[in-house]
Amino acid sequence: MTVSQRLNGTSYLTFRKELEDRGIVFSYSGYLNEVILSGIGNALRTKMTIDQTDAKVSRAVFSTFVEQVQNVIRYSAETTPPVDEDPLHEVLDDDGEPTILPYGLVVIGEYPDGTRFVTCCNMVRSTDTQKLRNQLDSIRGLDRKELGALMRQQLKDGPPEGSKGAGVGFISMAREANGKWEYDIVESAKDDFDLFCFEAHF
Amino acid sequence: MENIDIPSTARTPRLSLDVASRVFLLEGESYPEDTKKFYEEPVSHVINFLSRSHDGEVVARFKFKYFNSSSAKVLMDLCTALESSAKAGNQVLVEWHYVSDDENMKELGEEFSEELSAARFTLIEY
Repeated sequence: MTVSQRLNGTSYLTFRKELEDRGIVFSYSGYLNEVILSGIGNALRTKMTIDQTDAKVSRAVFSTFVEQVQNVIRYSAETTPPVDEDPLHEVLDDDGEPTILPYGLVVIGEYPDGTRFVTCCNMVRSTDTQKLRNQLDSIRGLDRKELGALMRQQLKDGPPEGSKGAGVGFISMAREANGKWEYDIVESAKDDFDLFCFEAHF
Repeated sequence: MENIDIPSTARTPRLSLDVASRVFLLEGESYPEDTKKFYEEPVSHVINFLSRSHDGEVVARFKFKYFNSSSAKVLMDLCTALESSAKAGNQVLVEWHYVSDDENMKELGEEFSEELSAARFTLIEY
């Protein structure tokens, strides 16, 4: 009698090779929390130290990684079910609030030309995508100095009432990347959800 | 008023206020899990301290390796309070320390300094 085996090592070799071929050094896909941010962030810093990555680049990559992951944690529209849908399985945090885990994708790597990338993707509600596009388009093309001034303005006043301006997190990442960033929003297989991807280049 | 001395952690800076010597310090990394929870209480204490009248110079020493954008909001609030304190007649010195090759941290300091006119500002490389 043969025992059927589900595990296929070759498929993982293929999976790994695809990541490698795309220059991906770190990747995480799944439910995220602040502890994962700390852990990957720590390994990322260590790896860059070992690689003797230029200190300026290392700092910008790390900073962007933190902002990106915190964005996903705060804004991913895909999470574990809200407690009111599943009250029996709630897990409380230190403050006694129910924990909701957001789902996201975090990738850090290097293109063949040596450009490093920090990319995060998360689901957003289709009804929110236009607003997000407007926010990001409003800072497209701004240089480091302009982004710095805009950031200061928002830190002081907060976004103006009814503003479509980008949040401080996006402005800060765009500034760190010296304006070299992109985003893409694509339809997902999930009804009413699109996948939002943001990438900064160093 | 009471002194504050909160030791640093991997993600939060050392935060101290020495009332007698009028020195406020933030030093290290700042990307707390919950920025509000970490800063709210000590910062409101510091802002209260700054709102009083002081006989000698008040020194605010910022010595960050890294801070995230939600911490930047707290720094902006502190700059506003430092400037108000100076405008109200206190001598206020803001020291912005940065690691010698960290141009970005120097630049951030220069940007915050644009919020200060009555308070003195100095960049210190270390």
